[in-house]
Amino acid sequence: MASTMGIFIILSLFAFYLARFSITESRTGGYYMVDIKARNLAMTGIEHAMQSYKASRNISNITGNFNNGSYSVSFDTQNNEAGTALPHSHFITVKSTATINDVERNLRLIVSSMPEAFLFSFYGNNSGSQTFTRSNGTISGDMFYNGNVQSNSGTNSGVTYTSTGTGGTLLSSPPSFPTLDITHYEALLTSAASASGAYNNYALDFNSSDYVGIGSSSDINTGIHGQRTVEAWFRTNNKDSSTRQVIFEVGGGTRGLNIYIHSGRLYVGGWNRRSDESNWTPGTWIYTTSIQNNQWHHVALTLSGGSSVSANALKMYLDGNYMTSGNGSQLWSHNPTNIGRTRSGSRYHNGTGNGYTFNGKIDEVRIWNVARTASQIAAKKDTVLAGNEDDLTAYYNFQENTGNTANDTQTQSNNDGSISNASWTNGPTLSKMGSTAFTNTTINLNSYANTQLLANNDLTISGSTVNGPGYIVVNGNLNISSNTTINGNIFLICSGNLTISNSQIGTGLGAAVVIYSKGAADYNSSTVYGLIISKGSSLELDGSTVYGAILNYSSSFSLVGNSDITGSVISNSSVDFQGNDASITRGNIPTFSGLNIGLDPIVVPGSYLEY
Amino acid sequence: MKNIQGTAKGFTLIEVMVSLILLTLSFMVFLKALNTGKTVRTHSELRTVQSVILNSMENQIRARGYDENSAAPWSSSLGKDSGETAINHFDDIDDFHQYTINEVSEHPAFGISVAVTYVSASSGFHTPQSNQTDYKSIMVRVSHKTLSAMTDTMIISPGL
Amino acid sequence: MIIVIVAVGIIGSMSATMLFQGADIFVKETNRQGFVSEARSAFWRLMRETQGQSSSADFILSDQNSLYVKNGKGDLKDFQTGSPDQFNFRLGTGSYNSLSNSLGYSQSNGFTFYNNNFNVVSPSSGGLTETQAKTVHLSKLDLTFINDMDTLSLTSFVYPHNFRFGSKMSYHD
Repeated sequence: MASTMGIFIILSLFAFYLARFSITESRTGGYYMVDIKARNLAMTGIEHAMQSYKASRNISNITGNFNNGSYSVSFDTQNNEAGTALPHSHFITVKSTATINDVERNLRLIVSSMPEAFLFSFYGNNSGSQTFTRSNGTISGDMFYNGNVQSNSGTNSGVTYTSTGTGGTLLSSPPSFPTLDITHYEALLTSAASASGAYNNYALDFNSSDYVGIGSSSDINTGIHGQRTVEAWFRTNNKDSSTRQVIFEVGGGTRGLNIYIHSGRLYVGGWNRRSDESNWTPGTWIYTTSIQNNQWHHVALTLSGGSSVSANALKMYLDGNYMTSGNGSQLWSHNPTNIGRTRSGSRYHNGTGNGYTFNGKIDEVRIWNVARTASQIAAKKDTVLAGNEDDLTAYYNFQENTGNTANDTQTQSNNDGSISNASWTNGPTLSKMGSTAFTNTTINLNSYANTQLLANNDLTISGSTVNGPGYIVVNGNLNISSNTTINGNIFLICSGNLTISNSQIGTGLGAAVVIYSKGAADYNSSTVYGLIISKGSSLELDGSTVYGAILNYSSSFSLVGNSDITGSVISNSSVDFQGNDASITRGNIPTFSGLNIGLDPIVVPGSYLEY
Repeated sequence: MKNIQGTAKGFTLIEVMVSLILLTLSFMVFLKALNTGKTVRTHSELRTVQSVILNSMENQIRARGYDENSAAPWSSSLGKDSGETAINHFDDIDDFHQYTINEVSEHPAFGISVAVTYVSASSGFHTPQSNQTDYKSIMVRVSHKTLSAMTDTMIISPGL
Repeated sequence: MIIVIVAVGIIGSMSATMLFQGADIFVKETNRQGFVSEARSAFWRLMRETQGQSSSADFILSDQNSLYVKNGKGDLKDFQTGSPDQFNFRLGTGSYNSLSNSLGYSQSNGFTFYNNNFNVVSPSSGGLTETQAKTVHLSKLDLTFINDMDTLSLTSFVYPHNFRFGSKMSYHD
């Protein structure tokens, strides 16, 4: 019995070890197969990421589920997979992790956001079939020339590669001259060419008893109106007057809305005083003191009221910013509209009365039948409207510059106003296409349709600041001067000559600009961060500094004075160092993430690694 | 008769029977475990060989170019191009479409078949596309006469 | 009583025999499993490292018995097969470690290299020259492992992923 038990125990132990062996082997054996699949899945992730990046320079994470597993790919613009800094700012580590069951594999590639030729300090394609000769300046970093290089003309540090072997190391399969896809640039130039040219903004000047009267209509004043926006641009030279200056009024003593200035304050008001209606009495007048003399301001009044008084129904905006609100309700049928003067009585914060005139200029008066939001108001205040916008009831842009009729440019109905004695004058600078000059001002490209400032004429930007993201597209010559700053993520595209002097174009490699010019291009005493594409007859840098890349197609390309380029220079022809202090140094180029620059990225050879 | 249970030195028949039964059960369990162990080990070894064959085929496919054409639009017909008769004539991935080996040399119990289709990222690479896209899905299947087949799918694009 | 003694005797000797045979099978299976495990692990290491080869030029000096690899981080690795049964690996320039000493050296075809027409590139006597190495497009690994009566033959083509993206040059750094 005991020996039987002993045998039984021994056999059980054997069986136990065999069972454990089976389980371990089965699991371990399975891992080898999953290893292959997981590595392939990580490669699938990389393929997906490469195509996504190529299409739109998108660097946000990419994930997917496939083949009984999942992959996740991330883009690191700073470091490699070990956390060490990448050697160039235009390199990106693409890391792919795939997991199948509990097996995880990690792969990475390094991608350059620019074509291969931009890995040289200088790449000369030698379309002019010349020997590369340089007697001035310095070149640092490997360079390539598609021809012969004169002795002592190559790079001062690094390898001079040549296609012939003369003057440098023979490179038998050099990277090709980059292919630039100009579709996007040319499409923008076509849009600029069909833009309407210089826009002169006219306005009306009011004093003594001048006004614009608008007839009664159900759109505006008859019937019940609970949702309303009234906006206007105005400019006064006498804000502190204790005589009320009415910019806009509709209604009368019982019901109405108004906008006026009194003793340094800009008011908007509303009332509907019948007790059998909403009993909005005595009414609401809200104000701001943030107005200046001799300066154009934009004011907006919005009303969102119901059949009884509610809080915050009446709101005030100045220059696109919300100021304050008060209670209010809808308005029952009331008297018609007047601009620049009270004509059918009105109510104010401190009384009632008629006949009060605005002394100053008014432009771009708009009436909407909705209460527009802060962002809607801010987005459209600097732009001329098309006239067919949703919920636009009446639009007076005062562009006639002659006659006595103020047209209602809103396309659906016609509530033209008649002008009584107001005189024609110039209005505020609005960001419609084709302003010819911006001087000492700030241009916000987000206030333009599609963030594109299109000019079908020569354009000058002087002493100004331009904020992006967006495009300045000129069907003509573009001149940027006098300490203008063009901030990052902006495209400057011009079909004619480009002259940039004493200006800052782009403010860093992370806030870079893309410049595409088709005429002669001159950069004088300026600093550029970004990509310069020159397709015209000549490109000259005179005492200018460029951080980034130059892609030159011009047959004449010269570096004059102490012009320095850090990044990469590619010239379809060659480059002429005229200044002894001129230099080209291999360095960092922006990644232009999310931007369509027309150049394809590459995988850096030898960068695939499993980690 | 003497009282056998108390003082006799022999075994009763019942004791022997019980021991026999216990022993039999033990051996049955042991032999079953041995058999399972052997089967698992053999399968695992065959799976190893199957994985290596799969990996080898996949690498041969990866060594080819994305497509006959050097740029988009890619070829509309997938499969061998004219004049390509043997695997070392294949110069692009989709030449492997419908490529089969019935018996792998050195391991004739294994067979290989390959299927290539265009797929798209928007459908998660799952649905074959009738138009040419920038992704080809390559499914490689290594079959065995008794074991279940091993399949893997790779997605390959033209790169940057 | 005699019957019982005889029965016990017979059962005892049968048990002993079965135990012995069972143990024998168990030992052989675990040996075989250990052999397969080692061979498999060695071959997978070889496949994985070869797939990470940075550039075709890095195959320089490789031949049927030697495979030199440099990965995307610049780490050097090499694999050597030697008569009669060695399969060794080295990281960097240190000493070699054994991946397996069950290699069937004469039964293995070792490392073979193909150009982009899928024709064999035959190494010169000292291994692939720089010019030859630069033409390598695809490699094949063929190892047979032998342990007593057991044989495991593993053959795989390996295409390094880096070969798709061009050769590494000084200006790529």
